[in-house]
Amino acid sequence: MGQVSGRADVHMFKYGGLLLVYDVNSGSLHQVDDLAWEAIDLLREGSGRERARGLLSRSYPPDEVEEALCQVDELREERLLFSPAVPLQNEKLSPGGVKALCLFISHSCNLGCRYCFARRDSQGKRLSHMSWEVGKKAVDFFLEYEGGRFREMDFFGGEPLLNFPLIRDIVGYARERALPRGKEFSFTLTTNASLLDEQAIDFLNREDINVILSLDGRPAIHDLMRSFKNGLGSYETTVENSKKLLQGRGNNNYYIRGTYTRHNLDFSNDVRHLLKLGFASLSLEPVVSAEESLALREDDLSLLEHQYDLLVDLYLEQKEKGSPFLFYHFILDLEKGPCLYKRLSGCGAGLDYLAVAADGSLYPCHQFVGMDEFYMGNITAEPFIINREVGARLAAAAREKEACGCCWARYLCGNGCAASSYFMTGDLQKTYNLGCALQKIRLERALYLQAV
Amino acid sequence: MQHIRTIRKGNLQELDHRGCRECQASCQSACKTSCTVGNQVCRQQEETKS
Ligand code: SF4
Ligand code: SF4
Repeated sequence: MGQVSGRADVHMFKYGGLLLVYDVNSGSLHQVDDLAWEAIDLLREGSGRERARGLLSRSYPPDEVEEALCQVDELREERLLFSPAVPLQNEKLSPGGVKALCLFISHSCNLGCRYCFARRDSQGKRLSHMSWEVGKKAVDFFLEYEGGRFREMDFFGGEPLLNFPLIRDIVGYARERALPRGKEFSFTLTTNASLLDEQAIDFLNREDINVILSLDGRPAIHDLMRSFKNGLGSYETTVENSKKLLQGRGNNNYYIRGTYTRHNLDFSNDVRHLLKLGFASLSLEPVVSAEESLALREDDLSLLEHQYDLLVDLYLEQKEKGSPFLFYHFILDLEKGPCLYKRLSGCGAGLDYLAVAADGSLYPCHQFVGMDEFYMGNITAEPFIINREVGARLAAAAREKEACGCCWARYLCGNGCAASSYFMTGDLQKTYNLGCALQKIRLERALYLQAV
Repeated sequence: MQHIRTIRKGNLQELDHRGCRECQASCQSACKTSCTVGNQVCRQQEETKS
């Protein structure tokens, strides 16, 4: 095949003094010397073995060239390099069941974060809190719908803790109902932490609920983006409450997640700050926003890339010191990661992942909540008919994204995010290029960290 | 002389019995956990490991 398919199937990059080769169709990673680098590059660009040998022998001893080419042959045979695309069974590509459900426990929030996507939701006309009837129906729907053993339920909003009693009731009910059906629930709460009182902390820790705590980093950065409705920053409260919560769970099962925007293009300092506070399970995400003062620009890419370099340094430095931390985007499991079926169906929005608004309306994912175009029915309706076509449309668009088909990162990224395609490009089939660039920057570094 | 050191043998060529869909959901958006599929572990392999 031509050049494009070579580059799409074998990705070569240099990082931190290493020459690295990632074989896309097998998911293998190799470190090579200069000779093997040149050999693989020639083969990748379409040179035959003999031609490559001739060309390489001009600069390297012929016996070494042969040795390197033989090593490539062996890896090719083992399907670890230049591995072929694997034939897939069509029926396994579209999941029938639902395995993750996101509940909008409350659409209201006690903060007014500047980048919050929920703010674009039809303000005012929406029911604020989910009722017990809807919550219970959501559990019933989730358990009755086909799907496997593991069920993920996610308490989201707005700020879900504004409606804390409902979370408590849902967890109790879901666990009770799941047991005789042989299902297992895992719960996650995404919260700004400002409403974590003793009662909530106790409950979350006792019930083993994963938490995602929103904290952006340095006080000035956090407070600029994440203030209470009265304009006061939420940093102090968030940090104090998060620490209390984590103490009670042996610092397990949590992520501190922040968002970086144009206001902190030096976000590695925010990671440093979070580490200083004692948090070691971190995720910092690029904002996806069209608002000019916040939005990241193509021009920012080299600065951002450098920040990820600094993060790699910090990561290695902390590891060396014996106090490692987790950075979500650097976690990669090439040997035990999900199979191709999963990787090709991406996020599953509208298929095996759905979101329920407070009034019971169903949408393909939390980002599309409130948008008529993506409405999939209401779980309280009798009879309830779910409009599966919405999900099928998102999945088809994801599969047809042209840029993904020839992107080396396709099985690590999973064809990107439908919502960012939609909101940033207006077209489900287009990729959000800045997001892709950042994705690839992070992945190269994550791969590098596998090698050191 | 070794010109190539294999750091990780990927598992993407193995498809027998795969596609069970028991793995975690994966959302990439900034407001969630932001796990891309690359960050995850296959449940079948996770269980055989332990
Ligand atoms: S969304 Fe972007 S980075 Fe991800 S696979 Fe598609 S082109 Fe590659
Ligand atoms: S469309 Fe985007 S935001 Fe929605 S579930 Fe998929 S990755 Fe997440």
